[in-house]
Amino acid sequence: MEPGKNVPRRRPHLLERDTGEAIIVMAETGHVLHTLEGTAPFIWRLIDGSHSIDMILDRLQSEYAVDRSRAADDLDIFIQQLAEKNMIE
Amino acid sequence: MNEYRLRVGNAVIALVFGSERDRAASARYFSRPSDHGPADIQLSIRFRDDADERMEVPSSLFRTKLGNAERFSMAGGLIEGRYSPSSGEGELSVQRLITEGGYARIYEQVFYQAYWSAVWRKGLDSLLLHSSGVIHNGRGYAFSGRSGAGKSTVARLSPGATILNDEITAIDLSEPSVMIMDTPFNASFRGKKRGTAALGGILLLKQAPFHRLTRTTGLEPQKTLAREIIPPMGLETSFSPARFMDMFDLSQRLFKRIPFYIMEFQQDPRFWDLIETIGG
Repeated sequence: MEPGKNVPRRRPHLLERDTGEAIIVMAETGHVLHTLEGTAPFIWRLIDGSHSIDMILDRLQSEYAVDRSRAADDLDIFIQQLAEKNMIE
Repeated sequence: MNEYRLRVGNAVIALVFGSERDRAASARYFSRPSDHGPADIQLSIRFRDDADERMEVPSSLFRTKLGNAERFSMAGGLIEGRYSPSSGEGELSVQRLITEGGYARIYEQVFYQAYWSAVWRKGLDSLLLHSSGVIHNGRGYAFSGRSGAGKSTVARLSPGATILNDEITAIDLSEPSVMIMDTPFNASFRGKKRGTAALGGILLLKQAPFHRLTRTTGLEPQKTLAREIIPPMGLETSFSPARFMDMFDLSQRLFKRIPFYIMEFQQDPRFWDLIETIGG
């Protein structure tokens, strides 16, 4: 993700499986299966290089009727975790 | 022709050796006579005796595989070969070092890959699972887990049952029933027998000071089981991390058709009292 641009995208060459209840993601270079559950699959599908963090937050608030401030904190943590796992750019 | 036909589940691999001595040694190693069924694929095997004694033998032939069907090598050249999926024929050149002693179980991984080549060529819907397979009262059970989880222990604690294997079993996913089948692969249990039965459950093992059987759902047991599926990688396939996702896909398919349980058990056979309560 470019600093200041705040428009994350999934890294290319990730392998995914949508099980209905969750999304399983694996990096091409490893064999660790990451599980995205709860609201994570909804957010993951918006991380496509065309939705800014603010736009994702708008969609979250609309979909789940959550407090914006809290949602922003949770989203920030989730994005950081994805970045640490090298799943987004 | 010095041929030995190796049956693995519902696939037959013909192994053609350069000498009767090598053919007989294979029959002794797998503890069963040559199968009478038609071969699905054929491999000519030649042994080399020029290994550098300092050569290290890796634990995985899958991860060390380089090349493609036309020419591949594994374990830094300890095994070299080629395989044609169109003809179902191939050749292996094997350093004898890797077939001996503790390395033999690593050498077996070539036959896991040969199994997959045979399965694909025959159009079967099967897999190999790192598990102990037991037929008890006419029903099959797969006990799965990492090394040390207790697969061999379960086999030892199953008097009167048919032990298909305590390390690797074959599972056929064709309709109407999922079936568990024997394989010839070796681990510590030497009393394995031929057999097949409808699969009544997959039990993920955990040693404990008590016996408890818990039906389990959700993603974690599917991911756990995925790691125990032998990578779907034939002789003609090279290694890639995508194989792990293939293993998850197979795990999901099993999960949709067969009940999964966490089996916590101690070192006595009373866990069978709990397993007998599984319906179906």
